[in-house]
Amino acid sequence: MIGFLQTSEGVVTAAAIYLLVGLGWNLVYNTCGYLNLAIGQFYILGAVFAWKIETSWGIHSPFLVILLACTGAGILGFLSERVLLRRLQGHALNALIVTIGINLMLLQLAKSLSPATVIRPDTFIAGGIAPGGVHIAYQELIVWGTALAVTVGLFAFFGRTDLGRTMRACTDNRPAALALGIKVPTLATIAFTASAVLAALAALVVSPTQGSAYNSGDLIAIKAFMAVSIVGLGRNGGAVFGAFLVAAAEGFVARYWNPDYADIVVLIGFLIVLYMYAVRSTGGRFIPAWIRELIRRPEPQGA
Amino acid sequence: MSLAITGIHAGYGDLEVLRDVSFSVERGQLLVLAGPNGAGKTTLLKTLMGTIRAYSGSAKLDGEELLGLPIYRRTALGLGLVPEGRGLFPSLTVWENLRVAAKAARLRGSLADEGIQRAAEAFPVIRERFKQKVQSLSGGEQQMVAIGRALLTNPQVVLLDEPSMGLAPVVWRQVLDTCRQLADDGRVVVVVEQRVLEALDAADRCVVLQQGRVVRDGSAEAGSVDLPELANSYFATEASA
Repeated sequence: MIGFLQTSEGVVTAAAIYLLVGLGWNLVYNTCGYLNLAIGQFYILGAVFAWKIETSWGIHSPFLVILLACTGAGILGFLSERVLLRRLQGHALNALIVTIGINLMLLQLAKSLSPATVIRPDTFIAGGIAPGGVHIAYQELIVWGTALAVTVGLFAFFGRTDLGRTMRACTDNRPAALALGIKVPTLATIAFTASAVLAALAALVVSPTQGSAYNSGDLIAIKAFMAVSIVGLGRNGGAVFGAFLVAAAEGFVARYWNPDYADIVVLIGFLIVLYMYAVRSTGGRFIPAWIRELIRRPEPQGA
Repeated sequence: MSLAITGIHAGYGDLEVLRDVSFSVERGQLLVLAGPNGAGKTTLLKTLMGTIRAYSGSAKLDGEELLGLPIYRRTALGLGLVPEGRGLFPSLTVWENLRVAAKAARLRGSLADEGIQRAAEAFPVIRERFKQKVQSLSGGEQQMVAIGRALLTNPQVVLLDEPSMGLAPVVWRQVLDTCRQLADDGRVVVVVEQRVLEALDAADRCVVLQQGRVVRDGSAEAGSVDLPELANSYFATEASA
């Protein structure tokens, strides 16, 4: 039982991270109309910046580290959108290709700033609690709290603020938003920058407990993408459910089957999600015709 | 109050759609802008609102030049648009649709609330449906929200692009009555419409565009519009016109 609860605790932490990065996916998709394939590198740069700030500059205040690392990721996000992506608005495929280029550039940046080994920035608060024998590090509580605060904050932002409502309007009907005089390009810059900051924040809070390698961002991004895609890309409410589903599949497969299979199961799930998107977008059925033919009941004779 | 359009040339990149378009509309007039598909009717409205930049020409509202101004300045000067397909945000509530439009028009503080109240007074159905998502409304109710949204800034010129689209005849008649009322209140109302015959009943003027040029500009009173000629304009090519 303790093992199950301890695994569940890890699932919650992983879900929190997938949720934070997944909300970043949704922000860009909803407002800009394309996918930010560089989000995994923005994630890892959060950890790399934190580690660099601590080891090179000697700054160990958690607040300063968060502030500086998020600002760094935010500046990179802002420049990426403003310089490279702004003029591609309305050309989703071109923008998607450019985000691949940004991904590669940021990967090189992360590689040049960090060692080849796993980096582990300082924990914000050392120690933890053990209710019922289940160990929960304070840092993990910070991860949970961050995900909860960001999720609630984003729901409040989109539901209760004029800027949030305007961003939803852009998602709904971009040409109409432009016709009203809404500065859609500016909103795209805000969304892209915010998604970079969100991803960096996720790595900032979780890296002290789990560590991060400079090349591990894409896997996190894929899992987060799967989390937001299961219910429907762009739906923040669905992202919460998806994040827990992906994290649970990963955590319990590792606990009760084989740790080596955890990523494989998640990636197979990812392929299924991609297949569903491909079929749905072409108006087809999820089950191929030859399988439907096999399982089809024979027509009653004489009918 | 008058809207004076003089020698407008506009289009999309190298594709010139409007060629030397000129006419003017006075306060209290309802003008029907007719013409076949591709004649440039919607392009003219987009040019007036500022979503398309004119190559040359002038559009003056009470002597003040509109072309070259950002969209929010044009709405502040008194232009309101009900776009083709209504241009609403389906997953937002009625109130949120109005609020977003009010903020886009730079209405701050109480001005935004006053604008929303104005829209609700013009169309009581808007107040009844404030908390309802737009996608759950009927076509007629959505059109009321779209027109109400255009009234947020208390515009003196209301431009409506294909307002009959998707509406039952009875509802379309109600929309036309609303347009007539807006004109009778002293506004300039320009209606781009394919269902011309019904629109002419409510209109004062009729301008026909064909291949980006004005081919008719005159009264819309019964008997003054040569209906066979108008019908021909929908099918004629430039060579035969």
